[in-house]
Amino acid sequence: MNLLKKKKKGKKGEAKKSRSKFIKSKTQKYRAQRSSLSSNGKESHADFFLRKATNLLLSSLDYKTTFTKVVDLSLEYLADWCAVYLVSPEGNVEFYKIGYKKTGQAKFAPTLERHNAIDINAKSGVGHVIRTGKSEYYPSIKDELLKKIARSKEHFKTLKQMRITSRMIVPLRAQSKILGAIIFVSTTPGKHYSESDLLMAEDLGKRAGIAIDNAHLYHDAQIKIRELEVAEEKLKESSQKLVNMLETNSEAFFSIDKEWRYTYLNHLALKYAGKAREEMISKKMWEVFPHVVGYSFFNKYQEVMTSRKSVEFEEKMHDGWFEVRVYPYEDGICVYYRDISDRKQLEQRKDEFISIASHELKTPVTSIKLYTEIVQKLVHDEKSSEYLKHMMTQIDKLNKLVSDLLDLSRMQIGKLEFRKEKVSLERLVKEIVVMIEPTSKKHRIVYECKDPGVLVAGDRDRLGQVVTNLLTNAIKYSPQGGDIIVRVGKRDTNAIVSVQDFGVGIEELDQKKIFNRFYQVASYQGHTFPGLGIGLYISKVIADVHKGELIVKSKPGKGSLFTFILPLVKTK
Amino acid sequence: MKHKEPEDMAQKNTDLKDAISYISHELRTPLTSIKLFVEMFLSGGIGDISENQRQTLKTINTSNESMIAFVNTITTRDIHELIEEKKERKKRGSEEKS
Repeated sequence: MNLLKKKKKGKKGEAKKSRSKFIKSKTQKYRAQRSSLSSNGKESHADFFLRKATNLLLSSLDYKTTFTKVVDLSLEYLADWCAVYLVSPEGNVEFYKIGYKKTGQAKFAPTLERHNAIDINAKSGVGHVIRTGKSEYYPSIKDELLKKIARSKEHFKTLKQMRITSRMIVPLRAQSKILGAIIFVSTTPGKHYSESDLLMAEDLGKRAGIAIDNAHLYHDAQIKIRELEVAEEKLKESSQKLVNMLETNSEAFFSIDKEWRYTYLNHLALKYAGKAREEMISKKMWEVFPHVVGYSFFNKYQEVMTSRKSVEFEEKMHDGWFEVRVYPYEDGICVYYRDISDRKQLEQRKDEFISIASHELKTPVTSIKLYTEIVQKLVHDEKSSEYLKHMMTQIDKLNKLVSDLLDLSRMQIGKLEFRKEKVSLERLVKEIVVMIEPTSKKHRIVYECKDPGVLVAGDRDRLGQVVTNLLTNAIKYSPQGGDIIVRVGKRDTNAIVSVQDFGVGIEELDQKKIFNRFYQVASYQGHTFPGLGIGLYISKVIADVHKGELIVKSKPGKGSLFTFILPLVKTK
Repeated sequence: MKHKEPEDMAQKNTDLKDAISYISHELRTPLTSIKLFVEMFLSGGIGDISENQRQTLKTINTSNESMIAFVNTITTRDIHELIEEKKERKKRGSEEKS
């Protein structure tokens, strides 16, 4: 039960009745007495006692030890017996201390201590004082009162033997909270507590209450401080773990705040930078690297800083290649550099191979095509012409493969050449549709054009290569035949060419990879699809060069929709 | 010189092999088909051919055979060795030119 909250109005006892009569006038008298004595230059008994008690109470935050001293002080000035009860933080009333002045009275202490249990619901006594916050005052003691107080015959006998003359109980009060009570008992014949004594005791109760409250607050604060210290320690520990992780990471890592100051660099990042930590920490990027602002990677950092979206790219630095990942975080950005030189070396191997293969095949395939055309001219009989036509189809296939490889090889060294001219998409796409349509008898190409005037700037042949690629793919990946829808139109400031088939479709996982070199949707329901798997890669590069985009929407079994987006030529 | 090959590097190496097998597979189909057509013409299986036509078809056959030989090379030989060899030859070629 929480005593601090629960307060019942108890019946006023005999003693309290007498007290209420004088309380106002006596308080004034008490104050007047104290001040008049003080004005005489001599300290009053009450002032002296309270000053001493206050000093004791303020001397330490360990209020339990202090209380022992206060009890001793009370025994010296105010009582023959003194007992303290405290309300625990859980709300229980606990007996704390009993003290007595005369050595002859020691024999009573054990009995009193045995009977110190408090009934909080009692109509009088310590429980009542703590519950109501009102003092109890018994200037003189009669047997009936002792009987009321006594818990047993033995207790009564002891109380009787103590020859109690007067008794008062005051609450220990801090603001509205009751934190305990003190009992003062006089056993000196003829010494009865006066109203001034009661007011003095109440004053002590208030001061002691405040001291306890302060101690509690201090104690709570100490606990909170300790908790904070523990939390801080844990935080330190985990951040140390994080730092260890970052330090042992095989990737270089650093973070930059919103003011572009380095906030952290792991040892690998410092190694790559070729600088000591103190040369970089808290310094702005351009203070450490004065020319950084012009670089493309710096533009990428800037992009992440403003867009708050992560970016990944590859960057050549210090004779090596790095995969760079830039992430936004609360205070700025963090950057990872992973050495991918080994992978790049192998990619280079692949590039070299493609270059060798394409150049090796270029001459013979051109020669075959040329000489077959000559033979075609020399042959006049129908049968031979028919066979040569079939042979030419195979030669064209071969030629396409080799020219794709050549394109790929040229792209790798950045030597694919692009002309820049105004291209009518409508006319270009129509031409290609007319050219492709006869190659498959199973498919019907549906051509739709909403904006016939669509103009883009770029290399007509290369743009045609993309559309051809999309169309031949649409045919290839819808082996069951059916419609292929080709649309040309505008969307905002862009021109759009889309090619939709209703064929095998592409799994979501594959959709990102189809633009990689040599990636093929391997098979679908037992079908395999011929081709190098580089057509879409080449198309993507062509789209990129034209500042366009190539995107795919697809569902397995439902077909695919490829959209080629190009910026429109601004017409005045 | 032997490179250390961590797992993902081995994977990338397989990618190179994959690329080669893709390319060779795709080339073989038309090459074999062209070879068959040329042989049929040369054997007179389609019709009579003139000496002039025979010579032209032989030239076609030589080119086609050289391509088939190249495809066989890339699928049977160590690709790194082959690349080094070709690079070396190219280097020497350009040195001689200059």
